Amino acid sequence: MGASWLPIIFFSLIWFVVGGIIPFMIPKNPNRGVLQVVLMLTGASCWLFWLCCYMAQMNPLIGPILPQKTLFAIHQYWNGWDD
Amino acid sequence: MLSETNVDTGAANTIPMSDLRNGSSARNGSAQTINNRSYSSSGQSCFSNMCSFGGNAVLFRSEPMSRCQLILQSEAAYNCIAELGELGLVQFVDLNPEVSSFQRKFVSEVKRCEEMERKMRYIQKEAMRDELPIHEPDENPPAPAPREMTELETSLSHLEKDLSDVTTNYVALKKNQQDLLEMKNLLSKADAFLSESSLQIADSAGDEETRNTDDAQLIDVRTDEGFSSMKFNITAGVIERSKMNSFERILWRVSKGNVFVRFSDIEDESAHGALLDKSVFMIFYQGEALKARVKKICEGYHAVVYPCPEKASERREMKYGVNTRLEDMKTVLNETEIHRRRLLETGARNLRLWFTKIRKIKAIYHCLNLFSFDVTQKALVAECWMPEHDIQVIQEALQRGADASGSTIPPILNSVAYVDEMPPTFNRLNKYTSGFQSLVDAYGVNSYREVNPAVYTIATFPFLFAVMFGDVGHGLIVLLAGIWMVMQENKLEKTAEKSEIFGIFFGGRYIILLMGLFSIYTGFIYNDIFSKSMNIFGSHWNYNETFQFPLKMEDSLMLDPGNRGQYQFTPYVFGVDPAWQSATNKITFLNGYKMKISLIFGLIHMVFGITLSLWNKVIKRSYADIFLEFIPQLYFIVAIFCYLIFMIMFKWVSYYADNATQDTNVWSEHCAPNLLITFINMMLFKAADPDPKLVAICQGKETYMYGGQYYIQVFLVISGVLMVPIMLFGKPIHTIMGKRLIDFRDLLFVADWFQFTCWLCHMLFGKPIHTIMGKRLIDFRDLLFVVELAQSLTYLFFPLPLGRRARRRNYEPMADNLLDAEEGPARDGDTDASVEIRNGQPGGRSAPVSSGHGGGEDSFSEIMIYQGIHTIEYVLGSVSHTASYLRLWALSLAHSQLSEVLWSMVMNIPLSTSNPFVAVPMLYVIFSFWAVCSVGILVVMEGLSAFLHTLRLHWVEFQS
Repeated sequence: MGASWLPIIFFSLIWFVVGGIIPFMIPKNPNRGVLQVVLMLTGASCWLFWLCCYMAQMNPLIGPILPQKTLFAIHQYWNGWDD
Repeated sequence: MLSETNVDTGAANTIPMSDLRNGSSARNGSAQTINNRSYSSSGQSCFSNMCSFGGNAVLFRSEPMSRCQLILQSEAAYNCIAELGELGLVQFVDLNPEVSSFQRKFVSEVKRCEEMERKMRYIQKEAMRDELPIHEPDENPPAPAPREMTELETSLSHLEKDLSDVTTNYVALKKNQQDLLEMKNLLSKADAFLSESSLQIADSAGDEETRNTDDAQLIDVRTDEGFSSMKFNITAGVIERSKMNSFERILWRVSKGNVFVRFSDIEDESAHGALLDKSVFMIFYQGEALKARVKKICEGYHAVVYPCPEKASERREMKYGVNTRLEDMKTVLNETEIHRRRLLETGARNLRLWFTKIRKIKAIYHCLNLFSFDVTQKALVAECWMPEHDIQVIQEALQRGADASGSTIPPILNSVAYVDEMPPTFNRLNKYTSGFQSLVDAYGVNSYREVNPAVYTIATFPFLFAVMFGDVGHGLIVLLAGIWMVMQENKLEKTAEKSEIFGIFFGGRYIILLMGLFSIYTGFIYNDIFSKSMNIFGSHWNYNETFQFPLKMEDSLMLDPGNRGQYQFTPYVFGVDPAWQSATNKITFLNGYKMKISLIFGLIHMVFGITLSLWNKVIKRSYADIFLEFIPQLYFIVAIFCYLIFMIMFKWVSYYADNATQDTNVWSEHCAPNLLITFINMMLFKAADPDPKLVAICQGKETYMYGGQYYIQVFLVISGVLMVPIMLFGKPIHTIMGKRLIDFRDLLFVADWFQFTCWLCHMLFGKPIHTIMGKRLIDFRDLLFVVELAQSLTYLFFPLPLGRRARRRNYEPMADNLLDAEEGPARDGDTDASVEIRNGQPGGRSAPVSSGHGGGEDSFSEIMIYQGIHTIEYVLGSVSHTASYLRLWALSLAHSQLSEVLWSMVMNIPLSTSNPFVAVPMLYVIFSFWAVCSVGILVVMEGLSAFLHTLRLHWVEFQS
C-alpha cells in the first residue's frame, strides 16, 4: 500500500472541520440551516475530490514519460528527496 | 434590498388567458412592480420580520401557506391593497373567473391608467428624440391616493396636449421654413440660369441638330425664327437629387427633345437635412401644350414648382420678401423650440415617478378586479394565499391601510379551512440564495412544501462547475470578477437594470464568486495554473541516474513506478504530481483519472438527488412510494452503478507496481484487470477468460479482484434488474389493492369468497387430502375456522357504514397522492397529466383540478402508462445520466488542453527566443495577446460552456 497516513489524516481533518465542526458553530440565525448544508456539502465534496486524486496516484501502474532534458532539469532543480 | 420575496404569482391560475390586453398587462405589471419595489423600500421591513419569525428552516422547503379570506370596506380597499402590495407577500385568487375582464368592476380605472401610460410613453419618446436625459429618481413613491390619480390624469393630458400641439406646429413651421429656403435657393440660381441661357440654348440647339436629324422640320422652324425673338416658358422648381436623371430623360422624351433643362445642386450653408439632397431645376420650353405636360411630369416626380418671375427686378424683390419671411420664421421656430423643450423637461423630470405611480395604481385596481362584492355592496371580499408566518405583518399592513383611508371599520382577515387547491410555492430568499433559486426555478418550480433543491445547488453547482473548470489562474479571474461585483453591488445595480446581459451576470454574482473559489480548489488538485504546475510539496517522482550528454529532446524515458529510486511509493500530497505536467503521456494519465472521478461524482450526485426525493415522500407520508419506488430506484443504481465506483477504488488501492516483488506479487501492475471489460462481463453474466500467461503470476487476480466476485456480480445484476418490475408494477398494483382493501365491503367479499372456496375445497378434496397428508400440516377445517374468525372480527370492528365512510374519506386523498407523486417524475417529460395538478404553477399550467378525481378504472391504465414511462425513463436515464456525467471528464480535459495549447502556441514563442532584445518586447506584446485569449476564450467562453453543462447536470440529471 502506497499511502502515507499523515497527509490523509491531515486533509481529512481539515475537511472534517469544515464539514463537520464549523456547521455547528454557526450562530443562530435564519440562514443557519442553509449555511450548514452548504458547508457540509462543501466539506464532503472537496474531501472526496482530494481523496480521489490521492487514491488515483497511490499505486501508479504507469509513470510519466519525460524527455531527457526535462529529466535533467528535474534532477537539477527538484532533486528533493533521496532514497 | 435585503430580502427578496419570490411569490409564485400564479398569474395563469388567477387570470383567464382570454384576457383583454389591459387586464393581462396590468396583471404582469402588478406582480412585477409591486414586488420589485418591495425589494428596495419595504425590503427592510420584510427582513426584520423575517428575523423575528426566523429560526425555523428556511429554503429547505417552501413556506407553509394559508388561505385567507379578506373582507374590506370598499373605501379602505384601495389603501389596504396598496399596503399589501408594498409588502409583496400576498397572492390573490380570482374570485370571479366567470366574469370576463371587460365586465369587471374596476375596468374603467385600469383603462384610464393604460391611457395615462400611453401618454407618458409619447412624452418619453419625444424626450428621447430631443436627447433629453430622463431623470431617474432614487425614492420609491407610495401608491398615490385615488384623488391624486385624477390630478395626475389632468396634468398629464394637459402636458400631452400642449406637447402634441407644439410638435405639430413645429413640424408645420419646419416645413414652411424648408419651402422658403428652397425658394430662396431657387431664386438665386435662377439669376445664373437666365443670364447664361441665351448662350446655352444656342449650343444645345446645335447639338440637337446633329443628334435628331430625322426631326428636321422642327429645327427648320427654330433656325428661321432665331433665338432672340423666341418667347420661352419657364418652369422652375426643386426636385430630389436621386430622381434628377430619370426626370430629365422623361422630359426629353415627352417633348421630343424640345425642352431645355438646367439643374443645379443646392449648396446653401444654412441648408441641412433633406434640403441637401435636392436640386434646383429650371425648364425652358415653348407652347402651352408642352406646359401642361411639363406640369404633369413635375407632379409625377413630386417636384415642387415655385413661381419664378422672368424679370431680374421682380426676382430681386421676391428674394427680399423671402428673406424677411425666413428671418421671422427663424424667431418663431426658436420660440417654439424653447417652449417644447421646457414642456419636455417638465415631463422628463417626473416621468419615472409617474410611471411607478401609475403602475402601482393599475396593479391595485387589477387586484381589486379579482375581488367580489358581498351582498350589501358595502364591502369587498378577497381570497388570498399568504405565508403563515407573515399573517401578523399582513394584518398590521391592513390596519395601516384602513387608518390611511380613514375607515372606521377594520378589515377582517379570516383563514379559510379547506380548499382543494394546491397552495402556491413561496420561498423566502435573500440576495445570496436568489441566484441559485432562479437557476432551479428556470427548470421548474417545485410544488408546495416539496424539498427545494436550490439549497443543495448552492454547494453542488459551483463544485461541478469547478470540476470542469479546474484551473487556479482562471478560477482566480472568475473569483475576482465575482468579488468586484459583490463589492460594487450598490453602484452596479443601476447598470444591471439597464443592460440585460450584464444583469444576468450581476444576478449570479454570488454564484460566480463561489464558482471562482471552487475552481481555485480544483485547480490546485489538478495542479493547473494557466496550464502550468506548481511543485509546492516536492514531486514524488525523481530521476537519479547518470545522463548521457549531450541531452536530446527526442529521447524520452518512462519513470518506473516500481523503482524506488524513481518513485517515492507515496503519492504527491495534494493534487496531481507536477511531474505529470510535462510528461508526454500526461493525457493518458489524466484521461483515466478524470473519467473515473467524473463517474464517481456523477453517481454520488445522482444518488443524492434520489435521496432527496425520499424527503418529499416522507413529508407526504406516502410510504408506498418509499417502498415501491424509492428503495427499488436506489437499490438499482447502487447495485449496478455504485458497484462500479467500488471497483474503481478497489483497483486504485490494491494493484501496485514494485520491481522488487514483481514476479511473485499477485497484485502487480500486470495483473490489474480492465474495469470496462469487467463491467461489460458483469452485465452479460460472462465469466472472464483468464490469460494463460498471466495466471501463473496473478493467480486469478488479473480477472477477479476478490474471491467470489463473479457470484456477487451476478447477484447484484439480477437483484438490480428485479427492481425494475417492482418499479413498473408496484405502484399500480398497490393503488388497486389500496382501493379495494380500504373498501371494507370488498374485503368482506374477498373473505366470503375465500371462505366459499375453502368450503368447496374442503367438500371436494378435504377427505382425500386429509387422508393423504395425514394430520401433519394443514387441516382445512382449521383454516376454515380461522377465516370464519377473521370474518366475524371484521364484522365486529368495522360495521358496514363505517367502512363506507372510511372509503369515501380515504379514496380521494389517495388519488391525490397518487397524482402528486406522479408529477415529480413527469415534470421533465412532456406528459400532460402533470399539468392538471400543477395548477399552482405559473405559465400555461393552468388547467383546473378536475380529471384527477375521475373514475378509478380508467385511471388505472393511465397510472400504468405513467409508471411505465417513469420506470423506463429511470432505468434508461440512470444509464444515460451516468454517461452524461462523463461530460465532467470531457470538459475538464478540454479545458486543460485548451489552456495548454494556448500557452505552447503563444507564450512559448517569446520564451524560447534566446536573444533578449527580441524576446523582451515580443513577450510584452504576446503576453497581452495571451492574456486577452485567456480571459476571452478560456475564462468567459469555457466558463459559459462549463456553466451550461453544470446547469444541465443539475436540471436533468440531478433534479429528475
